[in-house]
Amino acid sequence: MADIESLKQALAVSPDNVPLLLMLGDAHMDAFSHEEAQTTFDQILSIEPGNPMARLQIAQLLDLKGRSSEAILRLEQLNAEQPTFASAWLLRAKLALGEGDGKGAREFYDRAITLEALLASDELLKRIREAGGRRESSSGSKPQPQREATNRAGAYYDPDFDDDEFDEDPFAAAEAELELEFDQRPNADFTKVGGMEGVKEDIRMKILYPMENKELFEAYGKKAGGGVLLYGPPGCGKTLISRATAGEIDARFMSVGLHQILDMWIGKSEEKLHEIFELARRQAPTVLFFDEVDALAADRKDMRTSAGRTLINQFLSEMDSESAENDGVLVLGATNAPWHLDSAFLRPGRFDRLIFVPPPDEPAREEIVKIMADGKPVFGLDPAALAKRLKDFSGADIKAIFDQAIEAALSEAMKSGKIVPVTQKQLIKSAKQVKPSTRKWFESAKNYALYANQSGFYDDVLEYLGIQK
Amino acid sequence: MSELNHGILLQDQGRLEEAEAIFYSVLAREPENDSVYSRLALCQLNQSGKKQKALESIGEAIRFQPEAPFYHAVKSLILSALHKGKEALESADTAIALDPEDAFPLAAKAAAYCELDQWAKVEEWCIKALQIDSDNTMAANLLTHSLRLQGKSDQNAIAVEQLLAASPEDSFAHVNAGWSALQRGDSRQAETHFREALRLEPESGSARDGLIESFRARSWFYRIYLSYCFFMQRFTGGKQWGIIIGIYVAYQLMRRWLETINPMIAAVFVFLWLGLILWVWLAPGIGNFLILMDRSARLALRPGERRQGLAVGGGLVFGITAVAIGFGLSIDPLLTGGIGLIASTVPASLTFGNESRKGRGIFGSVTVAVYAMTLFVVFKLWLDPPGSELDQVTKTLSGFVLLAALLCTWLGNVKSLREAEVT
Repeated sequence: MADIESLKQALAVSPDNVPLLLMLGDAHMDAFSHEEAQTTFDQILSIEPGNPMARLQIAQLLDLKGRSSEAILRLEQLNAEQPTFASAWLLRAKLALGEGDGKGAREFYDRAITLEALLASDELLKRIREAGGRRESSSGSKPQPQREATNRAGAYYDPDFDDDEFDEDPFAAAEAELELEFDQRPNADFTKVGGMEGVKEDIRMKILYPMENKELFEAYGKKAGGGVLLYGPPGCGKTLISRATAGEIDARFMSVGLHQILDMWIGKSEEKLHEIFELARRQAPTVLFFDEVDALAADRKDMRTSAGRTLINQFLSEMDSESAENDGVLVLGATNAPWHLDSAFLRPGRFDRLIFVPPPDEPAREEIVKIMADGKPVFGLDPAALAKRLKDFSGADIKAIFDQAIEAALSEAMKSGKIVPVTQKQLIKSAKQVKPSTRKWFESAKNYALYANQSGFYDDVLEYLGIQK
Repeated sequence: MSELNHGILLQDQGRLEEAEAIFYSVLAREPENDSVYSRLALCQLNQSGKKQKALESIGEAIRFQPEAPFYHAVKSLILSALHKGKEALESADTAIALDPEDAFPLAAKAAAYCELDQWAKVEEWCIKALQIDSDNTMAANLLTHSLRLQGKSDQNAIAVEQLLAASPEDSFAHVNAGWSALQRGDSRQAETHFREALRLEPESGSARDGLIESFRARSWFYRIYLSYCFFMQRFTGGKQWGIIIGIYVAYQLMRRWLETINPMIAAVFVFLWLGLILWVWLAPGIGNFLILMDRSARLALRPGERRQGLAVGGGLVFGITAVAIGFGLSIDPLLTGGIGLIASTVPASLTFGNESRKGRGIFGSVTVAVYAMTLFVVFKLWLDPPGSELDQVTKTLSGFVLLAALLCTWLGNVKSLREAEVT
């Protein structure tokens, strides 16, 4: 309520300030004051008749009042006029889902995330799929091409792209059979990852060169493919670097989330895992990426239920090249807690190559700063100077710094009634308030590297910390 | 494996914060699931600053299932961790009344007696728990702990042997074995056990603390200090104060009696007494200073312990050197600086690595005052003409500061000024 009062005070100074009116409308919606919200959004439209955000919120209000058909009509109009406005497609997907139209919902959802990948919601997708909105192989709603999607807001949907090329995609058919979907095409390579040269070189040596010079490596008894474990503090780009690795070797990238495997029915999780590996083998060359792999490959000593143990045994058996043909399948695992992995996974033929992904280095931090500042009213930004001050900060920490600085600027804006830019000084001030989250990880990692490093797995951590044992 | 099972796995792996988040998420869907509340409570119990939350969580579990002895036993453990020994006993009794044949509530009762420093009772209830379930590692560990603190070395040695035979992969069993070895004065054996405990559980605070103690105990003077600590541990807080006051009264009587015989002998006695006091308070800091000299061992020290080692060990080395040179060559500023540095080591040893915020504030202020006063007097003596005396104000202030440093040796016995407040 205090926010609403502050906004009203700010608007008293600047009554036609659309960004402030939008904030007031949102605040009313958060406080369930729908009538006040409606009045505010109407006021915005009287100032700026085509304002897409106000139109979107009005559609949402109509839906909340139970007038879904009217809301859908308004959204159809908005989609036609503003086809690149991702949030409108997403709301339309939700409304279609509410009407029980799973296929339609899926089409709108795919359009929304193609335009803005950040809008992706596993929960919503799951509900859409349950309502029949599955990606189909040959008819009905088609898989949306990913080629224009990027990780950053502002990417656009290419209406001229030929959807038909996916019509006969056997991969999509297999996915549908499995009732799963994967990110398929990596949209990154090493050029998209700023800095982190040490990690890239490590990956080239341990993954790329063996795959590119398969025969040469085989002559020395080394093989391409197999398993590589990426470990390091959270929020430091393990997933991004995995995607980029797949992009570098031009392989199909299958990112497998924990939720895609875990199933409450006994035996079902193991079955799903096997099917995923089978799919990867059929589609080789494939990079099979397991995020949070420590949950799937946990130390069996830590498991109290036999159900968990059988899943681990299954995973081991799938990774074992002796029991299955894994040529051309590169298994990448990412974890914050490599010490919780069952030691059987670290034996030859499984995750036998470990790559430490440290917090972003200075060039990488500079890149992150630039990405964070993109599209925000930042004044006098010196990314290099700011990056220099952010040693040990993860990508998530840098985002927290920007969030805090933006909140401070917003607070100022509300008091003054005009847009107040975020300054370098404000960012530096926020950086002092946010503590690097990686330090906590290194506290734990140091203990494991000092006392449980009999095989030298964590030597890279010791080297990073400058500790000589 | 469901979300709940994932949470349980994280809890078993010791990733308590992550497990806690998952349990909250499960509770959002199943707000009346008492077993999830009890798991949540156990997660919170083992994280610092969340004991009070743990009590609330187990309260919820009991609300939904008041007849479950396990929940009352968990509540007892939480109350023990909150230093509420008597209430912990009541909860343990409730759990035992609900199921007298369950070993866990009996072990929880032993843990409550631990909190009350009643070691004989701890032993009694651990034996009762082990009679029902000989594999109860909590009771077995508490038993070895209580035997060691009662000075029952032979029984303790047997208990430790049995414990290690039954649970060779239990980190806490090795911690117990390490402490037993330390009490026997075998620091090498202790080091081996603590290293093994850390290999099994690298984040175990008790194993790391034990390893530090075993490093310190490499020197004979620290082993004497440890023997004193082990002796004092046998008694409850009140009795410990009684012993300290008794020793002080005995010292005063002895000093007065010696003064009547020969003032010189009395002066030597006072000097020895002050040395003993300093030794008791400075031993950990000197121990850390010696660890700092070892390239491998120093990696185990926390930043606070490193600072303590530098402030105390460094203060003593430089202080004694300055006193010796200053006295030998009659350089007053150097002599005064040396005395100041030596005096600073007492509050400094209580400042760095102190877990009590209040304690750090008080002892830290005294340390700063001693450093400031020393610097002031040294510069004054340096700048004043040779042979001139200090003015009365400076002398009085210096006296107060030295008295404050000496007072720290008494204040250091107040538990709340040395231990973190449990929340």
